Amino acid sequence: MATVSVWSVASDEQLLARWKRGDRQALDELFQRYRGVAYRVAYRLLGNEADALDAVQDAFVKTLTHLPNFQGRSSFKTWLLRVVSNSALDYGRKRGRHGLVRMDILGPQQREDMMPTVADESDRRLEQDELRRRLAAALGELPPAQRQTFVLHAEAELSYREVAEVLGISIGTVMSRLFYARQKLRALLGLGLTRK
Amino acid sequence: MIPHPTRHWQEIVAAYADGEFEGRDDLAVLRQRVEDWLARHPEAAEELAEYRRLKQLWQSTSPAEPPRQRWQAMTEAIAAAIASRQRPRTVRYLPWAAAACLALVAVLAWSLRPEPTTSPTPPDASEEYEIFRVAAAHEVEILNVNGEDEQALIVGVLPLSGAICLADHGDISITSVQPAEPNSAVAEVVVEGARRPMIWARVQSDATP
Repeated sequence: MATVSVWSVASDEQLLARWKRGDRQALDELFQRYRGVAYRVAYRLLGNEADALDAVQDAFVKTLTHLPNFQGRSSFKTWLLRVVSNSALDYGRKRGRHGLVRMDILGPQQREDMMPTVADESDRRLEQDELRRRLAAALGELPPAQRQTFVLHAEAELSYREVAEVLGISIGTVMSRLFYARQKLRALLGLGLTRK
Repeated sequence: MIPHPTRHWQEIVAAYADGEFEGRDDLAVLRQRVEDWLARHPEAAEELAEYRRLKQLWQSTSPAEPPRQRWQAMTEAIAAAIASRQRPRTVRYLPWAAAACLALVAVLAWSLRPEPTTSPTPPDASEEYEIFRVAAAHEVEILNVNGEDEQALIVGVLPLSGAICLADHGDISITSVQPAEPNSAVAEVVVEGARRPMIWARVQSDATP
């Protein structure tokens, strides 16, 4: 006879309430639930692991320290991602984005060399690393507001409405920023046709 | 770029490509408009394919997560940082408060310090000081009494020493009175009984027997 294990998954609100009462395990669960997306957002905005980890840690501390200010009007995830992305941009401003290639200093041939190519499977990992570096460089060329909007949508997979909520802007502004961000990324990455 | 004269329409088509219309009944009409438009503009399909390609490119380069140990260390660091920040203000600022109190006490002690004390100096002999001293009975010896304007008579043989008592009527007998003036008679008295120094307070009846 098969055994069925039923896990009771606590909601964010329940975990936050437990954390307020001093339940340390609630912190572990919240952290485990959102550390991944927080890290990916920070990494995309900063371009390196060390700074991204610092930004994530800073954001979790800020978010949970100011928990009494959390009114519950938005979800914990969107609130956390707002703090993470702001914290990452602050780190970026203070330290600069490390390890990125500036696309504007590359010549046409160099850009062509960085284009994704059909490669053998053995070369695929190297290609992915290179592609990641190139994408990070292109992302670094975007204005911070566009970069933040695009990363929250593409990496955190937030809807337009959620991005608007996180950044405190209108959905129309989100659409506009995403539009320009995509256009610029496509141009920098050499994707598709840039018809005028 | 999606071939359409207005940028707003291009943004709407991008939102459609991002799946923003899915499950949104309130946007059903707009979704139908976009789909109709895309059907009439097959060239826009290329642009949507570019969107998807960018999305795939993005997803394929998603950063790998740090190792589990790194996360564990970070959890501990976060918990410690929060505990430090959430410590009651009275505790957090206790060292500063203690330092402030010490500084305040030091300032008060300085401002309230006693004036420098001067050691008492003996009175200068050149200055006139009236020193009031209390003498005990045995320290006093009466050598002489000028009795003309005295209102009392010392009874006994001079010099007198020791405690002087007030004479009562039964203690003395008046033997004679030698008046120099009517109002300043001096009586000679004989002490009977115990011989001890006494003061006889002159009374009118005594002065004029």
